[in-house]
Amino acid sequence: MKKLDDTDILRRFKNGDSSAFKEIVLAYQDSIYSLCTYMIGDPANARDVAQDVFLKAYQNLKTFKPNASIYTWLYRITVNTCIDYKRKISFESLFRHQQHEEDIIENEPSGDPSPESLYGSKQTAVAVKEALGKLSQKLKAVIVMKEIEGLSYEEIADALDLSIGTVKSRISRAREELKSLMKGFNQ
Amino acid sequence: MRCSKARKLFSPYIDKMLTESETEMFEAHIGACTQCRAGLEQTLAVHAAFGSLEPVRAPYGFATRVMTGLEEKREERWSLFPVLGRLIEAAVVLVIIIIGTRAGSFLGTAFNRQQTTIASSLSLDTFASVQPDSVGGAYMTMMEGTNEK
Repeated sequence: MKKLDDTDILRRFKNGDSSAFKEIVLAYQDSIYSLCTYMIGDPANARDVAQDVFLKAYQNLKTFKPNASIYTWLYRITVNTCIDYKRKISFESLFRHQQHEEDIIENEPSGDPSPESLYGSKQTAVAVKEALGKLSQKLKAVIVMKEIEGLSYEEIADALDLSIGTVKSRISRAREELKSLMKGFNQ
Repeated sequence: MRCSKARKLFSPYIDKMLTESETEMFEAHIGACTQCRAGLEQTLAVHAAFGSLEPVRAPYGFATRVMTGLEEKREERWSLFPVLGRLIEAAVVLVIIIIGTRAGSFLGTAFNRQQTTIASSLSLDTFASVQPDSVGGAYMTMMEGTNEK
């Protein structure tokens, strides 16, 4: 992920340079969309939620205080927006047929893997996604940020406004839960 | 190191969050304890399973869609101004009506008060009674006598 010069972007945005916000969207769209996809588990809705994240960011960027970086701030907005979205649809989803997690797979693995390893890798990916779908939003957010987005403990703590100790324990708990959820798959 | 303590360190060990001395103690325990070694291997398998996930990229045209959405929101905000203008007009008319009604009722009260004053000024009760021993009193007595005839 290409990180931007926050100070320059903020100065330009406050001076009315509309291209400044577009640069933010272009730099972080993949990370934000990816986090939304794993948090929500449905690419179509993830796109709408990710769009909502950028709208909220645009509306609040003028009041943003640069004691955190823009991208950790965006992650915070994303996690909160995803949690709100899930809360909103949780009642409805009780009566709706759950969409299969395989829909998340959009890109084929790069390189030239053998059909067996491709199949094995896809199966593993499906198992991980299914297990992720069963985690609580709190645990899902930290483990996705760690394992998929590659954020450090400090960055996750900044983004979610948590202590490093809490991040550490949530990552441990998430891995323990995933371990038991994927037990059948690993054996 | 106890097994319960070692189990808590699986994750920080994988993420290289342990100090040098903690790492040494942990590795020494793992080397000696088959149960903890198996636990660590399972946690490592979960960690490795994330490697099978391909990075998800934003759909083609996502940034354009976001920027268009922002533009539409901004236009929506501007399009609220005519509606606001109408609301302000209606409020002004309402205020004028209220002021007119109040002023009318005030004038009505003042008019009624004036009417009462005029009526009371014409009342005979307002004339002071004529003293019998005065010139007026003598005149009144004489006139009453004439009328009786």
